[in-house]
Amino acid sequence: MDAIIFAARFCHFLCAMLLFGALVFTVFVAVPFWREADSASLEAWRGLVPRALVLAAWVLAASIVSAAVWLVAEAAVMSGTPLPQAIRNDAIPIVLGSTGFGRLWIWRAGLVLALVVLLVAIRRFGGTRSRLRFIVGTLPVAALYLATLAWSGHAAAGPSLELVADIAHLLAAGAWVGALPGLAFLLGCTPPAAAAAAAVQRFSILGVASVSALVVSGVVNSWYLVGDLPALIGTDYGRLLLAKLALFAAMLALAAFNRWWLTARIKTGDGSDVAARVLLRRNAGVEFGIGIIVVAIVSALGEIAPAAHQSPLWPFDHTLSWQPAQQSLGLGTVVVAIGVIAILAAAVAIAATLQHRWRQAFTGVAICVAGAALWAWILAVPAYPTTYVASPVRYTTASIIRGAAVYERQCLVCHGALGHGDGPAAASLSDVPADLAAHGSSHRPGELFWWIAHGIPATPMPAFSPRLSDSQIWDLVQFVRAQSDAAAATALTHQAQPWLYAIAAPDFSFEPLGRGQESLQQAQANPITLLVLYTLPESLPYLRTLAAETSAFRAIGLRIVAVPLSGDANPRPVGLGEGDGLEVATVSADVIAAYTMFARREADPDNASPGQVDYLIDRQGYIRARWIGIPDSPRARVAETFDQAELLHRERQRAPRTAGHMH
Amino acid sequence: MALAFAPVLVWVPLAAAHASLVRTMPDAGSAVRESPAKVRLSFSGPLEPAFSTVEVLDGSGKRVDKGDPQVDGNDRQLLQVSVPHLPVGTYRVMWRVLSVDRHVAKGDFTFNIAP
Repeated sequence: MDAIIFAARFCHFLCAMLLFGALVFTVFVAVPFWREADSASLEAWRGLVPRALVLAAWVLAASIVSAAVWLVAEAAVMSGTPLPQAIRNDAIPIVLGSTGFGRLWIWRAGLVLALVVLLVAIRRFGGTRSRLRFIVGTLPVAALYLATLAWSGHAAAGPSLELVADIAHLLAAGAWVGALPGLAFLLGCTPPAAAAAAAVQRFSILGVASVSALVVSGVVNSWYLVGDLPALIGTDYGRLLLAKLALFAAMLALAAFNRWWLTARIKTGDGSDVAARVLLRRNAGVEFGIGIIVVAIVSALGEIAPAAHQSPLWPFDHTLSWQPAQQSLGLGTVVVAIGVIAILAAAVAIAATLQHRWRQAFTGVAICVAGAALWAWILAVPAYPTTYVASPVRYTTASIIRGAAVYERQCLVCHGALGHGDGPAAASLSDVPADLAAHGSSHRPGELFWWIAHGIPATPMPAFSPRLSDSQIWDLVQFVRAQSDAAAATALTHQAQPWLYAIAAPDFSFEPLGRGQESLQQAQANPITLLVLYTLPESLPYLRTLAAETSAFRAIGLRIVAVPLSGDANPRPVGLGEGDGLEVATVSADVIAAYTMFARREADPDNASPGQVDYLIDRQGYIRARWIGIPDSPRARVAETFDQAELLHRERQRAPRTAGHMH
Repeated sequence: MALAFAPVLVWVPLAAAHASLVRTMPDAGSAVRESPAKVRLSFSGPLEPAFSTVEVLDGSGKRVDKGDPQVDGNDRQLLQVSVPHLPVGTYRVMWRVLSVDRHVAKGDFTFNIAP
């Protein structure tokens, strides 16, 4: 089925581009040419017109057939039934009536009808002026026919900018690739040199406009569909896109050759222009051929998931990272210095090129390249296939505690209970085990996964795959991150910490009494959360004071989740009646275990379990403040909490940070 | 100093067009005390209601939901199905969705009802 959809897409895209491109060529290049050409070439041209119309009819027919095949194949895929069954059932009417794709197809069927009518009219009206009017009138319809294909791709579900860029990309590609056959036809009519040169000049303007639009819209689309360099290099989608870019560059090189080398030669009226014209015609043909291959790649790209949504596998031994520059002041200064020199050299090179001072320009470019090579050498760090893979397991308390169990069995013996590299067996190892607590959060999750799964060569760190399953190793990665964050959590105070360094609050689900299950992170509109781990009866005065203030808290968008530290399965706080406004919830034991990890303090690193811990978690899901212990003055504590919550309430919304960010 | 060197590869998480399962309610693999009124699945991109479906099966494989899977009118990334009051036990949720950009995805997860 994938092959059928690929073939139908390819044929359909190509036909729509040819129709639009041919009309663009006719209106912008051919019509002025008619006015300037001599009678001989005009005769030759007129002889081509009926053939061109027949060709257009065939292309339109092919687009209709390919659209029908695409629709039927899509119905089979969407309904999950084999092709014959999908035709027999009412899958196709459902697709047409109830899906975005089907409704788009109905609109486009209307456009096809309009195109058929207009094509017949162009053929019937032999008189030049009315035929010209019909041709010009068909142009916007053909443009719509091509542009509406944007709604059949990934842009349909994305933001409007992606859709606009897609439409621009389609129209620009159609105008360029679809107009190339027209140029070849025109040059084949052996027009006089001046007219030929003028036509080629006009085509060049069309080409430059197309290329500019293609580059700008292509960059915008890549931003949404690929997103970053690892996705470009590490996924099938990204590599196909690179192939497309390489072919585009080849087309561009040919077009540049045509524009700057051959066009000048065509202008001369002596014999040399004939050879140039023949070469230009052949180049246009080659460009067109490459363009067809590009459309084939595009058809394949449309069927696979965009690179941004896949896990990239990094193919090289090293990657570039700012870390070496960040960790050493000397190296950092060198990097900045090289950057400044390279920018200056680039400016000089550009200025020299504009003044045709080639040697200076070459020197400038050489310095830039040398600077880039130096940067690559300094900023290279080891990398592994999974370096840029995001964890398939979410950062939840369940995952962390599963990872803790694995850690206790497999890792504690060397890395120690708190991850400092001080386990019982550590002394006997040739290398000191890494201090996970210090470094765990500053490595990408994918790197940690690789080291655990495959070990570190030439060190005592063994490979745990396949002894541990992939999901067990990801749980371990989440635990290492939590362990590292727990060490950083000793710096938490009663005042909201800056967002940039705050630790993430692991997600969990809880069941408020009498209500259905909820989770800390919600699909939309996360509130600020005060998580209270309490002990009865000591926490009761505080809980009562909280209960009295819940309306004030709700006014600043704060949600209170109160959970018994004892893991009591039937937690109704003694002394709090119904409708007191404070919600108590049950959670599974891993939530208590995970959040107790973040309750360590500098003063007593292996502290006795506190009677109460309060966490203030912001809208993005980061722990910003923490209170440990039963408060002597509940009123003062509640007031303090309220002030910090209000500070968070006034903060602006932020996008979440990436996992594995570097400090 | 750290702020002066922004990460080389800036990656902004975007609303994904390709729909994959983000979270569920009840949480996958979790135990709840009360039988939920609806089972909710939250995806990373908007769905096509016509070909997105979900069903809830009990321990013996019998279908126990009310047969009304629907994509939420306000949030097209949310798929839900109502269930009657269910007894204690383990339940399996099987889902198949079509995202707006024509990709099909399917999967399943379990949850328990335990007092």
